[in-house]
Amino acid sequence: MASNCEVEPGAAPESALVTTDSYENFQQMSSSLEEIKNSNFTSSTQDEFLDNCNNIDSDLHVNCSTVSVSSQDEDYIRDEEWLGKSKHIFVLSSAGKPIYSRYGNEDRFASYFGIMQALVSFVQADDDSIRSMHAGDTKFVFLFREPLILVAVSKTEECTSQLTAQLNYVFNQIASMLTLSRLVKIYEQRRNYDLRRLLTGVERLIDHLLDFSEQEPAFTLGAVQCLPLTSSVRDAISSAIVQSCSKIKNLVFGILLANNQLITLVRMKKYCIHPHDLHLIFNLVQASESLKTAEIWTPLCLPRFDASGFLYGHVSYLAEDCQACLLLLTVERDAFFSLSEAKQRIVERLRRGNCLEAINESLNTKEETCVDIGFPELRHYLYKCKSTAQFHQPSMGAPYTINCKRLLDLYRRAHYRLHCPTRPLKLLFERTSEDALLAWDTRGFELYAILEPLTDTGNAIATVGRLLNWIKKREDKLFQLNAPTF
Amino acid sequence: MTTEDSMDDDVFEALEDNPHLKVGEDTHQLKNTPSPTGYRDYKPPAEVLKLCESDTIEDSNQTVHKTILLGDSGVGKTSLLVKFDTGKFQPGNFSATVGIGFTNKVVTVDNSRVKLQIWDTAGQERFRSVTHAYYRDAHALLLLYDVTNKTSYDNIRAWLGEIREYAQDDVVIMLIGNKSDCGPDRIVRREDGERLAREYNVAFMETSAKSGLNVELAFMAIARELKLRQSGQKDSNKFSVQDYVREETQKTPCPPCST
Amino acid sequence: MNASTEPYLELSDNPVRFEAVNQVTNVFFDDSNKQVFAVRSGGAMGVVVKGSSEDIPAINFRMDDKGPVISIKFSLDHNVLAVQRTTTSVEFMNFNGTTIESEYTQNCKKNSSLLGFVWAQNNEVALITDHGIELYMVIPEKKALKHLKTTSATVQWFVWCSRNKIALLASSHGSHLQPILFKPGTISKLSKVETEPGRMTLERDVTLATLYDVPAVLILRHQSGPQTAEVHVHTLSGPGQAPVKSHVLRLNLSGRFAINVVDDLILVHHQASRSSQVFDIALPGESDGTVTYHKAVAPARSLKPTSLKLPGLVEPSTHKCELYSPNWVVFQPNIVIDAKLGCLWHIKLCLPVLCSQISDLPLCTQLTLKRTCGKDVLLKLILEHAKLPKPSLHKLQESSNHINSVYRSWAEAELQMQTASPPGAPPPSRPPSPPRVLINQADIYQQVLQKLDKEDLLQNLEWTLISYMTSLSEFGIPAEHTLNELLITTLVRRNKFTALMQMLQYGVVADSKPLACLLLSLGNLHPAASQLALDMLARLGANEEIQEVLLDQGQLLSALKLSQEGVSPRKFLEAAQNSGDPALFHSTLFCFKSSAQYAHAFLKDERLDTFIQHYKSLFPDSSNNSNSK
Repeated sequence: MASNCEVEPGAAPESALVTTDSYENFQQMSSSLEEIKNSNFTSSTQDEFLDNCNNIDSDLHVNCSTVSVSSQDEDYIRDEEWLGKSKHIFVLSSAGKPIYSRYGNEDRFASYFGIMQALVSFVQADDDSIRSMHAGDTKFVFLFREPLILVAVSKTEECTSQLTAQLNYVFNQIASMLTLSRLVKIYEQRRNYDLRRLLTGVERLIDHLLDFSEQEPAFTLGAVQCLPLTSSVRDAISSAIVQSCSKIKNLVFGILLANNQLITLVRMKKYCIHPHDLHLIFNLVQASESLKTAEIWTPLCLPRFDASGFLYGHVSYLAEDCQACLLLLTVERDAFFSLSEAKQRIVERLRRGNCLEAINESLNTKEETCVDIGFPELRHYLYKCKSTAQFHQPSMGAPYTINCKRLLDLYRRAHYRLHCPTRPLKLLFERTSEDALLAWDTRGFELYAILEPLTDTGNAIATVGRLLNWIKKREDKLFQLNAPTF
Repeated sequence: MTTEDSMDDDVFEALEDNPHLKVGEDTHQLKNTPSPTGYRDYKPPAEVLKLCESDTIEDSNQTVHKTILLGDSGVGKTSLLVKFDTGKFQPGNFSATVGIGFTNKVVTVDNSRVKLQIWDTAGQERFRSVTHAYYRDAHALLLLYDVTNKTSYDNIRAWLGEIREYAQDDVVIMLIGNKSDCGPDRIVRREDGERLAREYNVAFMETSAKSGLNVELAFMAIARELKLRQSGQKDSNKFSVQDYVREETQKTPCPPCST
Repeated sequence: MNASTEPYLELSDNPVRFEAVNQVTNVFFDDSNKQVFAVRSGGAMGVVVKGSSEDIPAINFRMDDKGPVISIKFSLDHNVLAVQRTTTSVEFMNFNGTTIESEYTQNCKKNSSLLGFVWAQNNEVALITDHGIELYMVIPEKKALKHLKTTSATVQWFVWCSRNKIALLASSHGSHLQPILFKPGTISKLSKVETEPGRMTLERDVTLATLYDVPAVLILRHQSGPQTAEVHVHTLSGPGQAPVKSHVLRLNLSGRFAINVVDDLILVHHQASRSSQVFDIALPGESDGTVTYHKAVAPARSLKPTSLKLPGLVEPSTHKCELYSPNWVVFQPNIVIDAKLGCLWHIKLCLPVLCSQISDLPLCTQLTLKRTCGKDVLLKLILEHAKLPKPSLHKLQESSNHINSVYRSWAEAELQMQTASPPGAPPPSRPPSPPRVLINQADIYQQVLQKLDKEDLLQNLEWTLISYMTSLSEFGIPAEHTLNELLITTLVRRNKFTALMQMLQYGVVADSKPLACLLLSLGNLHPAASQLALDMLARLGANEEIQEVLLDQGQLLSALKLSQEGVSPRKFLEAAQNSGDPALFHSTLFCFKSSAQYAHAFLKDERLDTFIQHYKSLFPDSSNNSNSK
């Protein structure tokens, strides 16, 4: 097995994605925008824009369409359905104002928010911070990120750090809509501000993000999955994007994705995108049907890239006959038309290069299951290449076609065992009456393999060894091994 | 804005399609080829754009008329546009617009073609500063409220105030009460809309993106007005939109609401 | 009478009556034959000999009055009557059962003064004089005695123990005590009884007895302090039956005492307080390494009052007997004679009453275990204790320990008897005698546990059972199935599954298949019981049974894992299909299809096709289907 350590399918010297360990500090942010602006020195619109944004009082005053607050604040205390939810997520301002609740209308249990705020500030008074409370099978996990408090109340098997990670995603989702700078400034100016005014529609994104992060192993792994394409096709696509945008300045990222899988990522030299930011982009694309109706121009903050300001995104689907979504992200506020034209050129190049067909073909090809590829005792696996923050998984096969939640729970638990801060494991083999699990963390990769429950240790190791070789042979198809730049 | 069209040499040299193909027929044709990606009834912006581009090349001197859809979040701006653009209705919980959506549409007014460049804005407050930048160049504004949502109607005054501040003085404004198919859920009466329109001296009509009532009319009225203005008849009658609308509305066999 | 002060000692109901001592009648007691001789007018008016029970017919005869009789005794076979009337000679008369036939005399050696005589054997008589012992063989046919042996020793007085054929010769005012052992034709001196140098001993303070089959010399010692009298017990248990001072009984009284032995218990009667104490040298006591100091096992009690029925002219009257009378003479082992009243009683011990006055159950257990009729008493005692509202588990267990200790020693000895001797070897000299009280598991089960098996006593049953079984386990005695079964059902009835689990884990309950089955049947009441059963079966290595159980519980994969050989794929697949769990069906089918042993079965056995079809219906898209054909 040791020899297999040498096999590191998908490893690449350079990655377009920031490589990451899952429980790293989520709050870490960089200020890439400043660098780009300074180096290119193009426009000052950015600053103007931010100034505009920050001047809340000059904003159009629109009566917030809040539903009349009923006097039955405590309704939910007796609502069996509400109480029975396995995981609640709440967001509130540090002053205790409700901002978001995953279930129910947050105005109807404002007092709960008061309690949450009190708990956080009470502990804070001692220069300490509350992280979690445990009562029976319920975990209360707190995340205080100035100026917001995020709380998860969970009866799921997820551990505290996984719940905290989810809360961080929620915070970043909010920050990506407003920028962190603006968020902070808003509350500096008005402590009691009702942030929901600015977050109309974002609750849908958060709802989607929460469901998404509970269904996608990508979030657990901190990685993205690539659409399988031969390396020549992927390279052709990348170069089509690079060539079509050759004359456009200040383009930071060009991202082509389809069906929650990355097709290619082109970047400005020196800059990488963090998988968490990419997850937010995947979430935005998946949650926004409206992107299909027109070309869209939208500001977007990538908190891990730069939480202080917006990038501007031209978002569109390639063509009616090719449902891949292209995002061109720039620091220019007025680049819509040039990017719109660039997009036309990209589509044209791809069409002529038969790349659209290749993408469609890959999208229409059902990914193979483990049985298909000759591993009958293997039910499913996740392979994450650490150096590129990409992962691969086969198509869901029997028996998880019926219960895939169990599979995700298994992965989440195994991932925690490997990354548990107090006692991380390198290798884990676990057999229950339902399945066998082998999880392996090496310098280059993480592998989680679910096997038939009667597989013995020796067989499991042999299978995993063969699997690594199998992935290695297909790595240029399953992963984007280069990191093209504009 | 549309900067140096020093033109990439490889933009759409060959145009295989009939440039005069009407939008509706186009849609029809596409219906027969099921989308390989499984997105049913999806109308591609790319194809539309291609058509529009062809217009640009054919009549290079043709003016682009910028039209912006405004109004609170959820009043049905995108639905109205999609209905006009594709003839389809996007059902209720269709997600909110992100930023600004861009659609080109060519319509025929009195046998001549008018190109509308339609900006569909997100109603949310957080996008407002982005959308302000586009008011300035707008030739026409479609300001929508939702007849089932009183707040969206009440906010119209604020919207108009904002328009005064950021838009050109001579911008064509049309006030639209959408979701007129709502039946008993209606909260804002038609007269309230009319009264408000009279007060601000803007055109008014009620529409339904769901039933299609007055959708075509709204955009056609705008297109007609913009064309008139372009041809220099602008000073003749500032209220021609209103008149036109009134005439056209009365022609409708079934008035949407009793007055 | 209050139970706590009820007497535990009593005189026999039916005393042996004889003519009381008066001017013409003398009364003698021969403690070898346990006979009372009433001699009227020196025998001329007749001699009436009564045995130790009224059932034994009295012997009547006459003999010539040749002067006052000092001692009169039949030989052990009653063929010869010996009478001592002087300090120099003993007369012998052949006796045919009714009359005296002939007389002959034996003088002791010159210058010796006869202290007494004893029948050492059927036909051997020993004359004990102040100069030693002369042993003769009596030959009735020849009307003569034949000298056998003479031992010289200075003797002031002696005490005789007929049972052990031991005479204790005292000299130097009793500071010298010399035991002599009589064997047919010979006598031998044993080691002297070690006493404090110069300490005198009175004849009346010395008792020869047998305690637990060991001869013993009991000496009353009056200490200087008040109420500090002691009985020193010298057992002839040393090498060559050498006397060893091994026990001291602390009387906490002073005055006149008399000693009896009943059922190996030493009874010490105190005349002044008219009470008796009971001691058992087998009980533990304070020990200095060689000597064990004992306290009375129970508070001193008076004998139970008794009365005599006297025939009256009109109607019989009763005479209340004076207890601890100065007219009492005490003989070993348990005889009390009131010569003035003409009564001979046996002292009897009422064990249940004695036990009722001993509050400590373990002590009481030890006591009763040594008594000849202790078994029923002990079982009742345990039952009573177990029925208390709050029985002491500790005491119950300690009590069980004593019982099981006896049981185990006995079982070991028996086992040794059966196995140790190699074939052909001579059988062991003497089979071990069974202990006086042997209580086995069936006894406890029937006499104690079953009587506790009532709803309101369930908790007591549980406690008693656990105490007893813990003790069994400590002594390495395997519990019988009935007990194990009772334990498990009791714990289940009491809802004490944690306790049950511990019992099983710590091996208090021995593993067995019947028990495992019992546990399985309790699985519905408590799910953990099934697991306990499985664990037990696993310890027993009963793989087949485990497989059946697992299969029954729907744990197909575990069952398969246990053994993949020789199982029926159909049975497993059917069970998997019936479980309604698609994942389970998937795994089961996979297991068989991927096994070299069974894969071919899918080609040959058409009946398996239905399972393939079922799989396809469960996982229509699965590519597994392609392999299955």
